[in-house]
Amino acid sequence: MAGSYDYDELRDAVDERERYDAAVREYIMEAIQRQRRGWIADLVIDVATAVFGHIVGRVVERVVDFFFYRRRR
Amino acid sequence: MDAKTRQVVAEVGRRITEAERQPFVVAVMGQTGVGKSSLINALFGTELLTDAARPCTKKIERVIVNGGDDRVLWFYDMPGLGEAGNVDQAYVLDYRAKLLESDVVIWAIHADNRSVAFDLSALEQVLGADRNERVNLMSKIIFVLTKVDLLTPPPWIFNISGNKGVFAAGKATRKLLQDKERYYQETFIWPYGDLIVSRTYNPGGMFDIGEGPLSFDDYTVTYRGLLRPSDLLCLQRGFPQFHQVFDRLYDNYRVIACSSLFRFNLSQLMLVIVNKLGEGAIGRFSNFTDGEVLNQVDVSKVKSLGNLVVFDRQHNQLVFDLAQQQF
Repeated sequence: MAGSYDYDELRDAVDERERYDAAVREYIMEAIQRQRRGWIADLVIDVATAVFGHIVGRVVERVVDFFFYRRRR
Repeated sequence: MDAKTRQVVAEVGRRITEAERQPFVVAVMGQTGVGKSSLINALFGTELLTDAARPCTKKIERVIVNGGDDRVLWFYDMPGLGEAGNVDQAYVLDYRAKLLESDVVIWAIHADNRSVAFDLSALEQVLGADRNERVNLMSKIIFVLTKVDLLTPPPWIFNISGNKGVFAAGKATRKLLQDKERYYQETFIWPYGDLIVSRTYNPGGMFDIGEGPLSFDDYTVTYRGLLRPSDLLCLQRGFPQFHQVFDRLYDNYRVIACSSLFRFNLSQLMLVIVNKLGEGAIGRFSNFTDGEVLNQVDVSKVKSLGNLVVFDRQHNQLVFDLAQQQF
């Protein structure tokens, strides 16, 4: 029935959804960014190893690990 | 920069471009009418046919979507296993192979479905007997309740901001969604708890708990096995600074109640998709996300959603029509 709604309840529902959506959006962007950087770090190490050989590849791996992330493997 | 370093830079660039041009493969399983194509359209901005009059397929269909700018999405439209009758082993194997080759597997169940026997039997057939494949598949599958917009009791609340808005569920609907999510989680996911590997990103590389089922590197946090609500609570109490990480690990194996029409919970679903992407899939996936707000709906669209017109025959007058409301 029109006018029978509890306005506090409506506000709470909307506020909760807004907070939740904002947090999830932030998570998505960070997750994508970190996955992508990890993937590119892996590529750099693979290619450097193929071009320069295993020893230089290991050095590159250490550098990437230090400046970016330990890799996923 | 010497020649070999230039070679490395060029080769890395070439591989990134090549990976990004590969199709992003999404498989959606579910019985006819659960809204598989609509869900893909809502998530990835594609324009798959969703006409209710379209003949329903009883076999696996691959739809190739060219989205421009080298964006290619393969969509495996997979009807409920056994929907067309008896299933032979070759068909199950083909089914499983398609799921294993997909970057994302969504198992869609109609939110108003009252029987789970059909889907449970299909899940057991698809998982097969090989443990590695079972782990691989359970780690990929995302269980989704579709068309929650059809659930009652009301209200669904549309919160306006400018010419767009976001749907939120009213108190009673929220409770109903939570109950349904929990029921389907206990039915479809908990029995396979030993196969589950849940991953999420490590925020800022700060997470450093490597006890029991938890492991980590600077990039990823992993939880092996089933994370029950009681386990979640213990972890959050023990390590409150990482409560969001535990939430995300738990959410990966929740059943997500969503609506393509209301764009409800699509962000949540997208986060789980990102968490579950395998090695290298992020390059292909990046083409299909641009940080847009997935849950927003145009006000003009909402006006077309009203399926109730109130007419006063006595005064020959239209009392209510959502499309004509000013907001």
